[in-house]
Amino acid sequence: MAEFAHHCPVLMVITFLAGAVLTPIVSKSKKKFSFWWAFFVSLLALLFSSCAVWSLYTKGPISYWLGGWEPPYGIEIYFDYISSITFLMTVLGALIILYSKKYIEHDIKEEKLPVYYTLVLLLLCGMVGFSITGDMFNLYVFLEILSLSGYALIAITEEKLTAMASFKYLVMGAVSSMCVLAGVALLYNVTGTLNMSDMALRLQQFEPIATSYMALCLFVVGFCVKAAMFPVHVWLPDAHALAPSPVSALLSGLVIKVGIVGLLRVIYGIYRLGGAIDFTTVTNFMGWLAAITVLVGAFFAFFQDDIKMIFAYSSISNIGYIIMGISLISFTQPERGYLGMVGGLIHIFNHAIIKSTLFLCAGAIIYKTGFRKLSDLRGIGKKMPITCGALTIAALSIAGIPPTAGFICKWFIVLGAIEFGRGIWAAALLIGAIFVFAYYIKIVNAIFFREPAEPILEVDEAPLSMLIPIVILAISCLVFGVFAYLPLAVIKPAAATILGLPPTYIPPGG
Amino acid sequence: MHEEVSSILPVLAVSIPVLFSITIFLLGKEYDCWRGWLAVAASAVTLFIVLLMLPGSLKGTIFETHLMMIVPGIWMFLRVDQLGLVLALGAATLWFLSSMHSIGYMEGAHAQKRYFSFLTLCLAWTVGVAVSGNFFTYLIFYELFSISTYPLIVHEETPDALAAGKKYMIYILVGSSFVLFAIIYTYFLAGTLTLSQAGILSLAEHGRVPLLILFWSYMIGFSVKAAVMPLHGWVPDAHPIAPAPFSAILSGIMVAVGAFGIMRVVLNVFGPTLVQELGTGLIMAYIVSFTIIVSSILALDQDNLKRRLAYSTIGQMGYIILGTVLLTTYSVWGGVLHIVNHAFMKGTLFLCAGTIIKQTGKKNVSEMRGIGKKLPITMGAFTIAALGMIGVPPLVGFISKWYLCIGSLEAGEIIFVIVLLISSLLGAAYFLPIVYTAFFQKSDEEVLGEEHGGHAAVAVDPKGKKQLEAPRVMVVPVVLGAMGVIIVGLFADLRYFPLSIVKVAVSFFVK
Repeated sequence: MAEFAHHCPVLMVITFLAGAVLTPIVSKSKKKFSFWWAFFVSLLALLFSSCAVWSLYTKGPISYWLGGWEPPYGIEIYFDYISSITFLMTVLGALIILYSKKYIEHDIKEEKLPVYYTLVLLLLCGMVGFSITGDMFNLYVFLEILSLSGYALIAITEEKLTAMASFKYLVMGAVSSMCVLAGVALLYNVTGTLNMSDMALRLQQFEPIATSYMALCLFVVGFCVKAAMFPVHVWLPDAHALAPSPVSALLSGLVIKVGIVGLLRVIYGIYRLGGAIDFTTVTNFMGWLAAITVLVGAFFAFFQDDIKMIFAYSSISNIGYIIMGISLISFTQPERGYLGMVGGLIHIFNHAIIKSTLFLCAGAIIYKTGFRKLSDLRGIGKKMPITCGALTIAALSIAGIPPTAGFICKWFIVLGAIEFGRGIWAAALLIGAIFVFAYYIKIVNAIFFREPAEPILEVDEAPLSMLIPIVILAISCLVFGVFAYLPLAVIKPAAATILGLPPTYIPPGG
Repeated sequence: MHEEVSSILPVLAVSIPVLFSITIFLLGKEYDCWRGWLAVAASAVTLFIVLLMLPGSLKGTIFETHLMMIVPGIWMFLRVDQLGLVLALGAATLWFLSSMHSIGYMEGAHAQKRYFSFLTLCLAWTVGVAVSGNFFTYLIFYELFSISTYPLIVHEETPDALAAGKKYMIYILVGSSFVLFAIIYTYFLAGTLTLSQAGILSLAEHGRVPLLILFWSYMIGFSVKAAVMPLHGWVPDAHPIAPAPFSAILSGIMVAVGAFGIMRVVLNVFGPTLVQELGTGLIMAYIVSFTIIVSSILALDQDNLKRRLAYSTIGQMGYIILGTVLLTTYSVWGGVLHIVNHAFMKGTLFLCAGTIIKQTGKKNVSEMRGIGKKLPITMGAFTIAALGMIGVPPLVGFISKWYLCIGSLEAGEIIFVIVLLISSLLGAAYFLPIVYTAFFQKSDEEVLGEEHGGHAAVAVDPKGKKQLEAPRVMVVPVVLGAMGVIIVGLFADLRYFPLSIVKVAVSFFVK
């Protein structure tokens, strides 16, 4: 068993990759079969990721040498606490693929179904690979895999607007990938290695030079574009709002988190471990930008009428929360950043669940009615009670109303900010949350407390294959709020190891 | 002299209304008529459970339950102390009256399923607020309560209702953001959120500036809900627009939950000594005095009956907070007692207003000429409750005002006695005209009859005679409320009556 668990991380990537490549072949004669194939592949990957996570928590991080080549010469797969995000990716991936069945058959031509599922599996492959690799160049390769499949997925419905959105994302995404690549190149130039832990070790041996600073800045810029932080967020609203809803859920729930994982890997995995460079100027700057991001995202969301557009802007705001949480770090006293880090990490987890719920609900409504503007969707809550109930739970959760999942994040991030002496960041977050809730009231008002218009009257509840993922996710929004210790059991050691504290670290005062 | 006992009663008090609420929501269409009675049953059972804790509580027992750990180190923790019991008792009683009245009021109305299930749910959260053992648990119930009232406020679904609902939500959210900030800051400073009887902060340890920031964050946060001016904006809009039985709850308990929060902050978090050291209590007292006077003056000007009552509520909340922040034994007695007393009186008044609206469709005071002849029992109860509000002895309003006045004198602040007296006068000025209009002015039909036939008695519309009084489900709660106003006032010092618990509750804090 232990032997098997050791192979699990790499098996996840291989499953997704092979699954993606095989999709067009297995569904050659019967296009609709591609769904069952993709669903099977995602379940298989889920099995591997659960095994890997289980092994991580019983035996500690897994270091896997690809092909048996010893690092730093061979490629190392390093499954550590940050990598446990792959579990979230595989679970959400499976639910979203299940949801896609009806939705995507309705949205695109039948002969393109295998293309869709291939791209989704590739996207998941890229994300999973990105999160588990211990090699910088590998990181870049996976980043490109997931970005490219993302661009294609946004434009898959072949509408004019989606092509435009996808192109906008492509341009910004390509620039950010270039930044990351340049960063990798510069660091390689300084250290002469591509393996992350080796890089960290060697960085320690050199005097801090401008090249290392430059590389850090390039990484931060590159990953912040991927994460859609202000002021490089402009690609996100169109891309996330115009993509097919399951894709929006993947993009908003997971893909933007990849940028955060990248930041964690580089800043905390390489530079903090290297210890040679004081990066607090950069993290400080990130934190201030994050505070602005929270407000900007929330503010613009307020003026949208398109429900998916509202959710997209709210994603920007929430990315601000996460980056704020992980920016609360002090170079000399790592334990001071602990609570903020826990908050940031738990919000990666919770926001993925909440935002997927929101997008899937929006998708179900659009699937049933064909409308996406709030003004057209009045009274829909009376016709689709389960979907709209789930939407309301997720909306409360994202506004951080106790005892939902979103509240826990708010609690930790604000506590972290206050403890760090950044009351203004805490204030920005709380003000942002008020805005967030103000526009969710708008949605709830429209869907529940208005008389249904003529076209809405004939609508009924969404099909079962859409309701199952929606209900599971909505319940998780509540469960992970009330039983917050479940995700925290995973997240606390992750936060501690990122900060270089022992995994069992307990902050003073509990 | 107090002992802590682990008990399941606090959990039951919260969970039983939740179960009832779910049942009400899940019942099929053919059981529509059951929903209201289930809501009544829920509040009756809750009241019973709360009463079970009363004898022990009087002896100084504190009932507590550790439910579960939400975040490592922070428990979901229920703890019924005497202060919480006062609120729980008032809430369950008012809910009982109000749900019963709702059955009549909501007859034929739309979305009864939603109304009754959320009504019962709100009871659970209010009791939850009352029995919270730490501020984290408090926050959870407080927010749940704020959110769950929303569907009830916008029940009519008219644009006006939605606008009022939105206003309410934004006010409350801004308030609860301040509360959240303050609670997190408290946790940061003190490392705990327990509602201790000695306060968890100290001037020497934390310094003056952080404590001042903390105190005013709490005050701003809770003042929004407690409708302290100038943060009262949502009250005059939300109260008239909500269905009347729910307005009774909004006014009687919901805003009092905000005042209760201030009480918890002053007594449990800071502790009376620290508040006196900081000197913030007196500033707060001046702010609420301003509120008391201005809201009473504004109430004079309102023609809409429920709006007038809403302004009166704003003033009455001032009493509760004033009593709390003056921090003398008698003033705190008066403040805590006024939570229950005000719930009785204002609840009765709003229920009467509801009956008037349901039976005659009249919302404005100016239209209510002669209504006392059509609805004699209802208007009789209204008069009793109104007299109670003015502070006529021996009704309940007098008792709390009496202690508040003595408390102010004890604190050496005569100005607050004057404020209370002026407020009573103003209260008389805006309540008595309603009574006068209802009983001593002739209704339009009578006037018409006199003009045409000359003999008034015959000219009364025969139809008007038939619909003399409201159905029993609406009359009974109103009468019970009015009887409460008399009996609790008359026998105030009796064992098991609110004052006896208040005395025990306050004895822990103010010596």
